[in-house]
Amino acid sequence: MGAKIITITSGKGGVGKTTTTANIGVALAQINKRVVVIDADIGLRNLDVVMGLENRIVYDIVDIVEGRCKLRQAMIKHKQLPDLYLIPAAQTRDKTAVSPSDMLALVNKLRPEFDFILIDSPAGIERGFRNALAPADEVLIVTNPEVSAVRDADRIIGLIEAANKGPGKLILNRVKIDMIRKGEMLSATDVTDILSLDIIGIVPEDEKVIPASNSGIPVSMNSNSRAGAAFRNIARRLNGERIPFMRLEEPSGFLQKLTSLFKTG
Amino acid sequence: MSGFWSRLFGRPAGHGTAKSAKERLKFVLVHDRINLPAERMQAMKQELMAVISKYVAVTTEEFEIQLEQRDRNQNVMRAEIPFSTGVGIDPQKDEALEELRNPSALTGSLSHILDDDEFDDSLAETQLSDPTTEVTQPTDLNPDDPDSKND
Repeated sequence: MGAKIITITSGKGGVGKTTTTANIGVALAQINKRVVVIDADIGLRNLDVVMGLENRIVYDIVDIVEGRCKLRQAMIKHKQLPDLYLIPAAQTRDKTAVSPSDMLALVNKLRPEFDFILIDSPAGIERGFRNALAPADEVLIVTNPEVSAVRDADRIIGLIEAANKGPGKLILNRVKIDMIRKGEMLSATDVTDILSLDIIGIVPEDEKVIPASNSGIPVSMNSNSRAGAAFRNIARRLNGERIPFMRLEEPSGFLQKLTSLFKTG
Repeated sequence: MSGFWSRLFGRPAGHGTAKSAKERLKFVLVHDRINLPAERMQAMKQELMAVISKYVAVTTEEFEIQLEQRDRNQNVMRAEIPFSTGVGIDPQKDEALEELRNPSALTGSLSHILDDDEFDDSLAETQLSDPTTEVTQPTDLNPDDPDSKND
């Protein structure tokens, strides 16, 4: 059958691509899929740190491309999830060290052995993005409910379509439901309206995300995290399951308002 | 007490800054997608006004262009171009008006069409506000073609 290749991109930096890639990777491995995640942000690598694998790097993607090591040697196996691998980016080179055809060749070698290959795209619209996009079967666009992020997402969606990799699906990250209810934050409906693209996941703002990356344990591994739950749902949707969205941001019914009056916080 | 009730029922959804964000984004994205930022749109408007004014008299100050997004790939341009009533139309060049005033001068009003120079160019010259806008002849006329009209 071969793997499904999914590129996670955004245009805008800092919206949560790396966190999303790490967490979807973990969540897929948790449902027994064979997964490899690839950090395509050469020169500014972060997927390794977010996954807690930074001290196990011996070789990176540029070493593979330049023939200094075999593919397997650069693949770091996750300790808790044995079917999850990371191919880290290089930290001392830049995006020109790798080309779109290098990425295609690399991914084609991995295809027969995995169920999912996730590629963490760098921010921007230049070479790094094009490298990450080249092998994609499907693209996920991460955005925040905020004007700059949405504008950049639109641009990236246009580029994805122009490269015939469209249409892509949205992941709306860092959603704050109380702000949406007050009308101070764009809702998921607003964002789909504006971008004309389907949403595959809505991830709430979650205080547990930073401590998770502090310790190198992605929130998907935390059963008490709402963001973790959202990432786990995205993984299941990618796996073909129909999961309804968590009741995060539908307009509040009367009863919900009533009960929230009597709760604190 | 009123705080209790407003917390119970909440403020209407349309009141916050999210509404403004959505409108602004829709506006900006339509322009981004077709590569028509404000400066280019201004230049386009000027040219459009010049062309339309060659044919009919319009009120240039009320000339409006809006871009609308229906879908990602369905964006339309709407232009509203109010005609100016009578202003700018030279009654001596208006055959219909001439006919109305003086039916017997029908031949006279038609004959001036045959004086191609006078009819074709002078109307354009009075209407164009921007002197740098060129009035060009269609470029597909073959200059060696004996049937094509040259200036």
